[in-house]
Amino acid sequence: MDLGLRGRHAIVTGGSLGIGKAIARELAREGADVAIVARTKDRLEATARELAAETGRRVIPLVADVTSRAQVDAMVAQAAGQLGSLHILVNSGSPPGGSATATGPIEAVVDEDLLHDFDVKYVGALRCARAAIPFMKEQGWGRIINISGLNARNAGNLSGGARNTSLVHLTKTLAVQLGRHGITVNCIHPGITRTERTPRLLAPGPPSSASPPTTSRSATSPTIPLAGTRSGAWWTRPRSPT
Amino acid sequence: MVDAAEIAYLTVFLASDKAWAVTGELVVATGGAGRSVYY
Repeated sequence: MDLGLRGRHAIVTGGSLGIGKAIARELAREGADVAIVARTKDRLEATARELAAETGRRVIPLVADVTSRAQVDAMVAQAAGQLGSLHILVNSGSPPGGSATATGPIEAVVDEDLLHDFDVKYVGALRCARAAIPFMKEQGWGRIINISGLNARNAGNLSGGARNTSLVHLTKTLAVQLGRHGITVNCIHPGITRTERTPRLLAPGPPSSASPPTTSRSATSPTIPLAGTRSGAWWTRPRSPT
Repeated sequence: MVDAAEIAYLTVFLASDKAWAVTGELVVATGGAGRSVYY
């Protein structure tokens, strides 16, 4: 199946590492040119060089903070200018989970940190979409994909879970508003996902019987990890059904 | 555990011409974690 992505132009926020980087890589592998966006210049430029060398596509590093409307507007205009047009926006520009000071008992929540979490993930996605939509409308074709997270469905996180739910609302509302312009808007909930950060995050205290994964699951196991969320053992591979 | 590349494969499909019929949707990509039923 030809996905028809050759010659498309994309923006991926959070594209310097983690899920965003993986998405930028696959878009480029499918033939798209990609602008990757993050706040940290050095890492962003290193990722752009790495992905461009790997895929042979244009991968442009653009430094921007998604909590600033001015920076987002300038970044999107620059991406569209350098790439020639803009077809795809992937909002992946947020660290997972939410601030430590905004995810515990309500008495301990620091309002400013909670608001900042929403400012990055929810309003950040809104800002990027608002800036990108005029370019998509111009050609009557666009794709917006919001990377949210499964803790939207699990009570207990007043920041990370709540803002993930807010992205689902943003997704449907934009889909309703933009469908007549040929623009689709969808949302993905990843669960616990292995990235290059995973070994470090697991380091503090995995059970002695388990070791952090270092290779792709698909390379090591054909098993779908249905049982992968048992507390304290979520990175172990489930047993085969008997 | 699901690998970031697998989130990327799904994203790339949704970004493609072939995903025209899918919009306003939420797609869960966790390898089937959890036991809740959504309907």
